Amino acid sequence: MDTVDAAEPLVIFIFGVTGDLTRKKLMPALFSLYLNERLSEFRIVGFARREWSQEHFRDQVREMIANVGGASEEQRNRFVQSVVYLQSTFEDPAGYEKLREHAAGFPNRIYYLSTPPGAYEEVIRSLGEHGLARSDTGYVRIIVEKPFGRDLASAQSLNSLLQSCFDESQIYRIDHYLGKETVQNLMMLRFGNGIFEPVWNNRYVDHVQITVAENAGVGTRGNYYERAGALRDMIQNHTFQLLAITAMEPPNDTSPDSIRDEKVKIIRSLDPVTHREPDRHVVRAQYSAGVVDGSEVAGYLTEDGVDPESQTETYAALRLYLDSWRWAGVPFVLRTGKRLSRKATEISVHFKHPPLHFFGPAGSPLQRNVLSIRIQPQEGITLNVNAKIPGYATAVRPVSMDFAYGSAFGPAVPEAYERLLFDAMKGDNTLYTRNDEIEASWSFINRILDHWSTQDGPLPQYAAGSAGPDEARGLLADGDRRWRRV
Amino acid sequence: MIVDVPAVEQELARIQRELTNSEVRTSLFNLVVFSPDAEKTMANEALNYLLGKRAARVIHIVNGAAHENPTEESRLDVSARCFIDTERKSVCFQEIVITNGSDGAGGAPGSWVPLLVRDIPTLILWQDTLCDNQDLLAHAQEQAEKLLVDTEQSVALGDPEDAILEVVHRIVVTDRIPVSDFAFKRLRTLQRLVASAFDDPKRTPLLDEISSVDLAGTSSPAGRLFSLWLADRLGWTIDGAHFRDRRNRPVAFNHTQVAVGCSAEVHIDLMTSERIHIAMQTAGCADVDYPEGEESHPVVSVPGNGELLLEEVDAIGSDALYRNALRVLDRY
Repeated sequence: MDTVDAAEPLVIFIFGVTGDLTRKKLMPALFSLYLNERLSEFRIVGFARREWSQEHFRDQVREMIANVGGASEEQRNRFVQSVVYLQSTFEDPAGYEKLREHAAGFPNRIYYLSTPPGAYEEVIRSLGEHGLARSDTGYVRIIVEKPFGRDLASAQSLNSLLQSCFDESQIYRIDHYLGKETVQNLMMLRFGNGIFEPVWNNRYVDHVQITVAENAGVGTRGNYYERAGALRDMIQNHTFQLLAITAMEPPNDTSPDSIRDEKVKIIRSLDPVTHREPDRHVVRAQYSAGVVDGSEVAGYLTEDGVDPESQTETYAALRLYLDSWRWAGVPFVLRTGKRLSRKATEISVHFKHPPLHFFGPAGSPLQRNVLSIRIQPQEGITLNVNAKIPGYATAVRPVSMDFAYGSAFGPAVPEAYERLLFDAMKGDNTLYTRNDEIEASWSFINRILDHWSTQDGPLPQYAAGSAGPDEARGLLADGDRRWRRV
Repeated sequence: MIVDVPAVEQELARIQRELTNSEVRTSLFNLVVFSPDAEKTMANEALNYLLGKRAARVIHIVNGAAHENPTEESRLDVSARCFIDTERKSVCFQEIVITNGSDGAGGAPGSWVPLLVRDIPTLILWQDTLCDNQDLLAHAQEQAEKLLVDTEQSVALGDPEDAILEVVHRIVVTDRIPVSDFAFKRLRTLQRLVASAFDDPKRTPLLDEISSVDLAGTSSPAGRLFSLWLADRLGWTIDGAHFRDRRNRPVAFNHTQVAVGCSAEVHIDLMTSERIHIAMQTAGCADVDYPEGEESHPVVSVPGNGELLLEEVDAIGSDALYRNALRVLDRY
């Protein structure tokens, strides 16, 4: 008989429960875990400032889980009865005493920081001061949402504060990209197959592209985004994590620290962009008005909450090199942007041409072999190869060998948050980032931020719905290298 | 116009299901056609030739509607055509027609790029003017593995002849986008014929003795491309309206578009005052007359637009001959 690997009894405290993250991701993920019998004895406590009644909060939760399919009314009712609202400011000591009361009867606790980053310090300090960071009955873990700092100094400061209250083993810095099935599969692809690892190096790989493209604009997050920008919002965390998993050496084993040790080596091996050369290796830009999905949309500078003279980038592209034996000389080009032509996150490994060009017209090399790993949407893997067109002539065309998660496997792929929350309940922090990874990435990014802080004048623009700014082309302008289509 | 990608995909799947009961072959490429008119374009003729030979997603962006009806908004229509091949499998064109209205939204990449099938090559078949649509063209080439243009047609639609080569030169040489020009491709038979006239080792040295070339027939853009191809192959440089050979001697090139009863006629005058005469029709036997009185009559056939399109969708690489011909424009 199969047994379900369920979490031990626990109470989950979500700080900032009234925000969008809880509505869109956390509550549906927790409900899904409940439906899949991963959660049995549990309580979810929403901690926030808003003066909501218990009934109102439960009504909200019912709405949040409305789109999760496959649940009976009884299951929805039972889940909703397990959620509790705790109204308090993050500064009020009484709120933390109430929190202790809500934790009574449950041996294990998880705190989820889903507040604006400005509130992190207060919540962490208060948890420490009220003795809530430790428990004699079971585990206490804290999950910290991005952004983890806004530069190296603030990240170090946040790490110090966290480590003054919690052990590193209790701290789970979430990067939800790591919870995506295809990202996890990348390790399986590399280290579970014999054919890829021998060619995964500078002898065979020409360059690697990592794209995190969104077609959405800043929406209602203009105020937040003004202080972040694409480099902080996407590159420092998600994109660097994808880079690390793509480029890392095989770990000794699959323990969390073995994997994270290898990842951090990659971030540390990034050839620093010195103060003289950011403009050669980094491009930033802002979206202007354009057309997305057939509809006209506003430019960034006219979005709500955005300074009309803002210098915040909505697009960033970087050309990076790794100082490692395996990757010396191979460009890794990373790009992210809002209001691009479509939403697409992928890693593509572009292989070198064969040493001799036999086929196709003279002076016109065949297409490179490209292994693309689609992280979203339509998760899957495609390998482009050149094939002979059937017939008497030796004509060649590129064809693709495609693996799509959606059609290959029956059960639905778990949402990233679902997987990550369950991992935190089980004490597996493999897919969470460690303090040294965060600090290493900020250390690299800081140089670029420092350079940008000395620059004046408007940023280059790209039309909403386009592939990005013209300036980004220069990062790949070498031979027949081109950005992949978004 | 709102482009609802999942809805478009569902509609395409539904139409395909209605059209065919057999297994449907996977699309091999995206073909995005830009034209001023839905009907009066060689793209339809060429696509009809392709139908049943290659499965593809075809996105046709009709750009001229706004000029004809300034109040018309962009709109999107979906259809499919399927052909059962010899193995009883369906080879389909999934067709999406976007009419670019006065709002301009239909031509913007944000309207059609999300409809491209990922991880298969994208070819842009540009059947509109090149010089007047630089913004659209720039966005389109960004998305394309290859850009297919027809400078003859673009000039016929109103592009100035002197500007059009500058535009394609920028795309091919500066931006290094793989481009095939149907006007150049249609010259291929004539180019082979001219080259073969010098194949005999005793005539090969005459290539360095050319004093003038007269081309009669073909369009003006094609004539100019033919001269650039010759210049590239023979190492000539541009000198005003004519050329200079490797020894810096002047070489005249004259082109007349008059109908001469065959598709093209070339007179090659040599420094020795001798002449090679080549006359070619679209199909049949060509006539090649040599100075010593010899003659030959090779069989030739000029490929149609459909055949050319089939070649182009199968060969994604750039046209090196075309690129090199355009590079002659840099040699003064």
